[in-house]
Amino acid sequence: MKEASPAKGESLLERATARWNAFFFTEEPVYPAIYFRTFLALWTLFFFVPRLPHLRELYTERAIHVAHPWATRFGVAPELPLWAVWLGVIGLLACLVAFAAGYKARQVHLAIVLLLCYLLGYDVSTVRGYGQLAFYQWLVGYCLPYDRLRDLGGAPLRAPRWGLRLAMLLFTSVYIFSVLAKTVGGEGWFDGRTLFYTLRGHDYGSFLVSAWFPISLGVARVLGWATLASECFIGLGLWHRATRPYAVVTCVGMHVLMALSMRVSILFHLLMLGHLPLFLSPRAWERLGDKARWPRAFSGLRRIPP
Amino acid sequence: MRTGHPAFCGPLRRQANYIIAIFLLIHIGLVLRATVPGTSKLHGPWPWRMFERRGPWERVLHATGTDRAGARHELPLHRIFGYARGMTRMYAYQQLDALGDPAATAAQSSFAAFLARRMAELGSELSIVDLRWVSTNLDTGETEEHPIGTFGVGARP
Repeated sequence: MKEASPAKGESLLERATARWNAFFFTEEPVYPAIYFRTFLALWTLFFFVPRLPHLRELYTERAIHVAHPWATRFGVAPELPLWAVWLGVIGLLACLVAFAAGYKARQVHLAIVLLLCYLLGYDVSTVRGYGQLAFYQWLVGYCLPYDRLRDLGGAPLRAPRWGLRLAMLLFTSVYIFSVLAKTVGGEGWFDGRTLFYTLRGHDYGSFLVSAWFPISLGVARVLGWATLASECFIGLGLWHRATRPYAVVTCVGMHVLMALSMRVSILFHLLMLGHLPLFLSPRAWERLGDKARWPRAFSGLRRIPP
Repeated sequence: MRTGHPAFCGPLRRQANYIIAIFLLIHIGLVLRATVPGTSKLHGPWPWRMFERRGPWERVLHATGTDRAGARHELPLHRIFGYARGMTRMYAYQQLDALGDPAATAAQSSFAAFLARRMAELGSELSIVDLRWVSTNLDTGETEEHPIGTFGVGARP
């Protein structure tokens, strides 16, 4: 990997520019971009498949439909007939398969975003959380060099990593913003009340572990602080070489615990955990790309500068 | 440093910088929007807020229909609604702000008519639909009823 590094005697601005360029424009193999293309397409496919039996309810009943705020603002809330919705969804699924396979991916990408604008924007309610994150990743994803893996000579292509960096920044910002929302914007996280009632309630809690072992307010307080610390650590720790493996373990552990104790869709956990391979080093990706070097792939996790 | 990928080489570096700058500015804007005082028109919620607050009360919608013979039926909302958020049992009506807004009678009436239509498909013709939230306190088990309204649905086409 060729990377710009600040030289001695450079001004602050020059050094900042060099760091900026190194962070965003260092060339890397395009493996992670190809992975993310496939992952995002398959995840979106799995997001829409469970919706298929409910399209009438989700898209064609004005009585239970909350228009997207932008649609309300601009006075357009097109409500398509059911056959048109079916057409749109089938078109989307076909586009997702083509995109995952890399068939005319750039053109298909635009079609997917347009279809998602309707199918996520005019859902029964404004899509939140992981659906929203996936949509933004579809927008950011256009900046990824996912067009092809190898050049005409069969060697893996390399490209500036700025698109990938945006996808990674968006992913880690979710954890940082989530902490800010809980602590600055929300309430009941420092004394454990919010987690206590969330785990005891029937909307999201009383599920597997939280149903088998009801927790006290004291335990909820400890878990609440642990959650805040974990989210901070994931959001920041993934960016540093030394802390990256621990941040990955923390992220996996937190989502596994959430999946075992809260009624949050498994799609949410899959989406978040599916971002983690983006933080693998280029060397690890190269090893993964070369099947003969698979056993050594993850040993490169800590060796490459962030 | 080389910029070699055909999609984003040479002259497109500037455009890439613009996109990165827009991305970062949006995030700075989101922080500023969330931190301005709540009384300001510019104030907005924090992005990616999940479980940011939760009280001891939990509410469930109850809908009762009266058929043409005057018999009352508890409407099977779990059959009328199919899609629940994630792995929850939170159906579409739990996200309808209108059901908690006393001024939104038109939307509430429209919702009641929707329930009547669905019940007709299930073989029960209704003339009146009564909607109410029943809240339960998770600490004490105390329940409270919050009527939404009673809506005539018999004159629907």
